[in-house]
Amino acid sequence: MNTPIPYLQRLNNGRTVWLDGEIVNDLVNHKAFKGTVQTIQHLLNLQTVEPTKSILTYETEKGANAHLSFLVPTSINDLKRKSLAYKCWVDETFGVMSRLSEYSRSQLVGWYASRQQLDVLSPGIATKLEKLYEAARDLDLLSTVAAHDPQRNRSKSAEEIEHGKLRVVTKNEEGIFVSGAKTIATAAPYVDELLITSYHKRGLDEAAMANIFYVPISAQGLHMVCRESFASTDTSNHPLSSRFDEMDAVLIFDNVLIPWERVLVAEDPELAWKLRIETASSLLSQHQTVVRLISKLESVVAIGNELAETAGATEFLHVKEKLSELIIQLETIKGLLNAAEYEAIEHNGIYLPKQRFLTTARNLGTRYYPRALEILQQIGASGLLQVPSTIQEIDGPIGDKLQAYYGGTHTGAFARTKFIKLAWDLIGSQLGARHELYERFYSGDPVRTFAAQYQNYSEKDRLLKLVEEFN
Amino acid sequence: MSFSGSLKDGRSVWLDGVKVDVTTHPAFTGTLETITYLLALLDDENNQSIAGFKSPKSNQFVHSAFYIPRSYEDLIKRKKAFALWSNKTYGVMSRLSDYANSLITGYYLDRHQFAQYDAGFVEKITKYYELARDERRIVTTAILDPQIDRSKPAEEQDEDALLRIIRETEEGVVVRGAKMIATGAPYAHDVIVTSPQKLSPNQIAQANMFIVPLNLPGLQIVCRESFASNKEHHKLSSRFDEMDAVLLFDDVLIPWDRVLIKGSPEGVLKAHRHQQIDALAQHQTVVRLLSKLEFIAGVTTAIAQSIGADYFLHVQEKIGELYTQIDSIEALLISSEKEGHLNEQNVYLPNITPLQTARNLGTHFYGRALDILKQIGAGGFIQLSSSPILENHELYPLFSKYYKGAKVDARTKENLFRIGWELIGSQLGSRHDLYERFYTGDPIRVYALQYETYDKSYLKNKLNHFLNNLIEREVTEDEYADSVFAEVE
Repeated sequence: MNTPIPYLQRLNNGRTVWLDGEIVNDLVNHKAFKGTVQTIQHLLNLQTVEPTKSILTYETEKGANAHLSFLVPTSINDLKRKSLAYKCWVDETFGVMSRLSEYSRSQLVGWYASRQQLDVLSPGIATKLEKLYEAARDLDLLSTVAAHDPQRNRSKSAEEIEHGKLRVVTKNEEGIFVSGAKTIATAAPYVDELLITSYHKRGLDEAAMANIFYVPISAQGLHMVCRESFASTDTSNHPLSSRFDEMDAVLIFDNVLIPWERVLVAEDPELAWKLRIETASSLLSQHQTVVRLISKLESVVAIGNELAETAGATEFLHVKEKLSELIIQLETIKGLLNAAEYEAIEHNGIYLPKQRFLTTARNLGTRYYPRALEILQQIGASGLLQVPSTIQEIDGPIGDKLQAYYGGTHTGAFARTKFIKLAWDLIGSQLGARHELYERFYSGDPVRTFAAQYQNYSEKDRLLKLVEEFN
Repeated sequence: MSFSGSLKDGRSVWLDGVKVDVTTHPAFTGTLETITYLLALLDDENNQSIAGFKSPKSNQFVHSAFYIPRSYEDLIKRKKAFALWSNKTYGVMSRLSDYANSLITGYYLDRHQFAQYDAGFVEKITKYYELARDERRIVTTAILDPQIDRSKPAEEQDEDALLRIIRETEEGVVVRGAKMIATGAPYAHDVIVTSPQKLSPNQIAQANMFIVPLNLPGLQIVCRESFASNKEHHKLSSRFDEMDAVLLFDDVLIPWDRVLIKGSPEGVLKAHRHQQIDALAQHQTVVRLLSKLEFIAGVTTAIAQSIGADYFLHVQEKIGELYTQIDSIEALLISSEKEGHLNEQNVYLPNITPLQTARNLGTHFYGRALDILKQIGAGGFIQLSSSPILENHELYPLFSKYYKGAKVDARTKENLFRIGWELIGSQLGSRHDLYERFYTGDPIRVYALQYETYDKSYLKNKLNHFLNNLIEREVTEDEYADSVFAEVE
């Protein structure tokens, strides 16, 4: 029987995390990581206490409790339960943390649920998936996924710049040895294992790069190279940056051994592509991204409304129009999620949310979030800068003056300042800027994801027939 | 009586300076044929149970806009009826009466809420609901006052700017003034007339709600220029021009049974708000919008494919955007139906928030869809021959050679671009661009209304919860180290 090891204990297990030129030995106490570690610990604790325990977990066939991201959905209600669990966690991060493992776990759940079909394509894969799935579920492992090759020279063809891409170097009876890089591994420093996949369809000439495997975070030769930290240690002045910096990392593999039981695909472009586009895996993971987006948009509407209300701006018609646009964004994505769930389709015995509504929600999200930030700026205007450098100054030497001038319509200077600090953290901080970039690109190049919607649209023939009948 | 025959009722319809008989005038021929066809579906065995239901009174099939939904399934029955008509007209005809008939159903269902404003309301709306239902009456609305000086409040307007009662008689009230925009009025039977203004308590004469028969003496129906075409290759304009009209009430006697609210500014405001949030009627508008967006996306896709333009990534991206429009509206529609509720009167109503969202999106979506269609069809729209070149014409061999497309012959490609041109370039097309932007009201105000009526409390709670927890969860270094230690143990 697998027994989970406490999260904080797992963290300092010899993983190689590089930040500012040094290896971070103690993530739990490092200023760049500790706020986020604390948040994750908090989320994990919610799994053990009511009322959140029953929202977040279900009982497995072994009688243990597991996070609902591991549930194989066999009804629409199961999908709704999964939604609520995703929502519960992400709401605790005010919608700001996007890679809380449910995304990568859902990919595994999808493959696991389809393992019999996959075993036909690749005999033996079902057993591997069962073991990986059960271990992840029963040990409550956190994970993330990295799929892309490093951004080097995208105008050149693959053959010309092969160097640098993650590939199989050698293999023996133990497993495959891989070298090269993968990007972007969001949240990598915090998790227990990494799912490495191959995003693009590859030809036989790139077979060495067509791999899918799970690598333990502390694997020998695996380097996680972090971007600059956007974390703050000041919770009261930077309420988001101090707790929710997810950290993004490039993974560099220096001749890393991946044991065979963790290798799902090795040097097989066709199989790698089949797993990459496997229906259950795609839809279950996309489902989570839409729930997460809703939570974030809710936070945006709440902030926009509070900015306007505390500045007495809700009387203006054009301000109401802008706030309504934020509400419409939120309600549109909620409508799409609802429709995806209500119109779920049974597929090999499991229930999957309807693809086209998820795809649309994800594509809209790439444009909604930058627009939402723009509206927050327009509504908040100079008020976003009209705060003392720290909230503590409200009680400082000139506190009485600050209290006289820094209040809102119905809130005192302290409450208004505290709120503005939050709004600014979302709009103006490094963490905020990173989130704008994230929303634009996390689902891929938006030009291509919109184009993919054209290429794969399930209703296209029906639309064309409509026009044909018209003529 | 035939639909056309029912319009020979003495009405005064003005077009190009003369009073016309709509049943014979070419500007109305195609549109009346379309409506006649749609109404006939109620008598067609294959369609009547989709389009309608049996009236409990007449036992004849009547339109489902009058159907009172008691369950989710009933609501879907209504949707299917709306979709049947809107798909047959590609969403291009918006005021086929199923919207206004739904408003009548809504007023009828909530009739007791209006008794306090006019004692006669309950009986009159009940009678009218049954009459409109069983006689299959075509109904439209005329709510807005003429655009004279929008900067002035109602009480400072010229006395004839707002429709008002000038005297009462035994038979009814005599009214004077004007109302706009009465889409479909030239060939509808009745028009719902109220006011969008918040009237002051002393504007009693202006504070009324009527359901006016369109053939009353003194009622002048003044049409805009006709956008109808009698050319066969104008497939939209030859069949679907919904005429818009201004109604001039030059001292019209409205019989008492059609005076639903008299002299109640509060009642009129309530009636107007009721229209703005009438879930049953809004449901129809969203079904109709979806048909239209599907049609324009279909046309755009076919045009792109016909000239091989869909090979380009940015073209695919743009068509992808059109599909996101369809999916968004359809998802909101599904959501409104599934998340509906039974109200106190045991009526199953769709959820209003997704419908409101869909309508507001629609005011921006259609203009954008036209924009995309223009970008993709580009110069192709103006390289059409002035009229179709037929097979016996001397230019035909050249036409076949130079007007063909990537995978389609010249005729097919030409047909596609002609529909495209009607959507983007015809007078009917331009009118639709305007219609979608404004039919729900001034878009900035309907957006503002959504903000005002939206339940923001759960979002405020979320924000407060977050800000409050911030303090509670701040822990000192020592406390934190302790908790880590405890965890590891």
